[in-house]
Amino acid sequence: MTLLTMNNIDFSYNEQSVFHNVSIQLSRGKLVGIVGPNGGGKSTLLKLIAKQMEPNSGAITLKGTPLSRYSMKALAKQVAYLPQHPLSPAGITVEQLVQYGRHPHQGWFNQWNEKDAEQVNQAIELMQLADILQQPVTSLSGGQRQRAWLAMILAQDTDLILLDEPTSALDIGHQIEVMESISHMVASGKTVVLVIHDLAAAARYCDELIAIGNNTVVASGSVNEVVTKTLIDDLYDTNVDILYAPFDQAPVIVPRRQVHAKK
Amino acid sequence: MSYEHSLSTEQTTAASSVSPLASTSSLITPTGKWRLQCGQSNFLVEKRAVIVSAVLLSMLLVGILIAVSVGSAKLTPLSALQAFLGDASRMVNIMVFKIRLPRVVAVVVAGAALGLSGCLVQTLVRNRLATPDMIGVNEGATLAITFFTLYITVGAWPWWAAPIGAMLAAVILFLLCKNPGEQGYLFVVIGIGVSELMRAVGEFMMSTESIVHVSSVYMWSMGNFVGQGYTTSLPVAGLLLLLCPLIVYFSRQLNVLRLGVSTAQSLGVNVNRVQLSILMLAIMVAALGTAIGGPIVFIAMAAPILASYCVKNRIVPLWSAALLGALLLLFSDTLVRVLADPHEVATGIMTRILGGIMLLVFLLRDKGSAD
Repeated sequence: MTLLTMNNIDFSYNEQSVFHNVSIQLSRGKLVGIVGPNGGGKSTLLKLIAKQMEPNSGAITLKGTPLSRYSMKALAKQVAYLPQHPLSPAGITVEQLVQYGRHPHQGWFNQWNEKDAEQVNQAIELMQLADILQQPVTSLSGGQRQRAWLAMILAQDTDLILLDEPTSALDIGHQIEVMESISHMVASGKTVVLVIHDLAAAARYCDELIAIGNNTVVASGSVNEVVTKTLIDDLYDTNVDILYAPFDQAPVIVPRRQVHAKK
Repeated sequence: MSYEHSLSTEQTTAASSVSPLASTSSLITPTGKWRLQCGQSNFLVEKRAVIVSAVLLSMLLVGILIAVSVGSAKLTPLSALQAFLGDASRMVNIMVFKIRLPRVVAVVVAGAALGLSGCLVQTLVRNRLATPDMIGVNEGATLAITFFTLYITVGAWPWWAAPIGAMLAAVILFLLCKNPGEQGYLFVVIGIGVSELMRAVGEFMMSTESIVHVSSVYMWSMGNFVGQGYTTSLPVAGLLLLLCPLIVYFSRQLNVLRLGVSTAQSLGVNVNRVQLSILMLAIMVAALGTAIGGPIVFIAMAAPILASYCVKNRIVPLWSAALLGALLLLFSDTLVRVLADPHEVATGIMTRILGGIMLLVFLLRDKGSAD
């Protein structure tokens, strides 16, 4: 079932075209990875869906309603967006951070009810934060900190979750920690779209991939449809070998060396 | 459920005082907060902020008692207290209510305004150096008052002109730096430039007039509370109280803005609208604070920093910052009265000394870290 559609989106920034004629569809309950070279507009795509930027032309429809018809608050109940480098203010604890996720559901005369407590507790449980609840966010390791932010996003209780490079700054241990947490989110019924550079992790965890290059969507579909030698070579201007992991046959991309050292 | 609610409120108003939510007892309240239920509405209050504010308020009351006792004719704080309780001699009453209290009230109102506006701007710009006195708002207010006193309202004190000048400074600042939430450092540096410009223009105006004519404006422009009556401080206090509900309204969003523009926006905050509103409020508050005793530095920077420290950064400490601003300015003013006696020295000079030391400590400590 379709959650969101983008139709013929054109977007330019500082008079430079970022997107031309981009159309995508997101179905419910999927983990969708956005891949592509640096500066290709992957983050911009998320920002357009999160209404942090407005397209020059084209239509974005969420649950059958144009995005432009949502107020920021109404949209925040449907779509949660985690920027690439969120700012953690000094002194804020993990518990407080997760509680911020309830902001769009609260008002001046309704600051904390059963639903808020329940959602925050679920998020804390799912992201396994019970032990570090009272620690300042700034004191956490990279993986823990990312889990705390993911819990805030979860507490927001939206159907669609957008994550901008949630694993980029992490070593493989923490990267897996975060990808597993994201898988828990998808298993609990969320639709998650994330920008990701690590193609191996993308291939292992994502249900669908969207490849973005040359200002437009180059390919989209299942992992095996998108991760092909021709497409990857073309997308990143490389010459790669694609191997298949012994455990689950997930494709692993290994770039060939272009200049050979003297023997 | 909601149907039942609407029924009960229609039938009797008394029913709404009984909590309709039976499961409230199982509700887990966030750590460190009190939850207040009032009919259908519920509120969260940060425990630490309440306690800090209560302590600061009592300190301020004691401070006021001490401030009215100190001076060339000595009073004991006890006899000052008796005067407040309506149980003192006529002499003491005149001393307290006619001579000393007007100045103390002016100092407290100005200090609270400066502390509050400093907290608003620092949080908005995400930079501790971004205070109204740094970015030219206070100097803009000063320029406007100087201009109006010298050329338009000769004789009467044009305190109401302060917001005009402050807005002028803010508009110039905005034309030069459009995104204060993301370019905090640039905002501060440009602000210092605007501030200097405003001050220079004001001093130029004063230097074209004869010294007798400008002496009172000049004294005021150094930050001075000598001979303050209620004529400025009471209307200013009234206006500040009128602005308070708006500040309370925006304080929820201000707390979310601490997470950065992008995150706040994705949590449903209309960032552009909220930023602009809070900045306008902060400028109004700062300008009104300046109108009383002139452009006073240090308070707007120090009070929010100390207040954040007191509440352990858990929330944006607007009210603690206001109380601390009042307390700090009262301390500076009383100190200057005691030290300079029998001369009259501008309070602004004392805050400048304290502020200079604090700024150096702050910059040197921060030299290594980026945040």
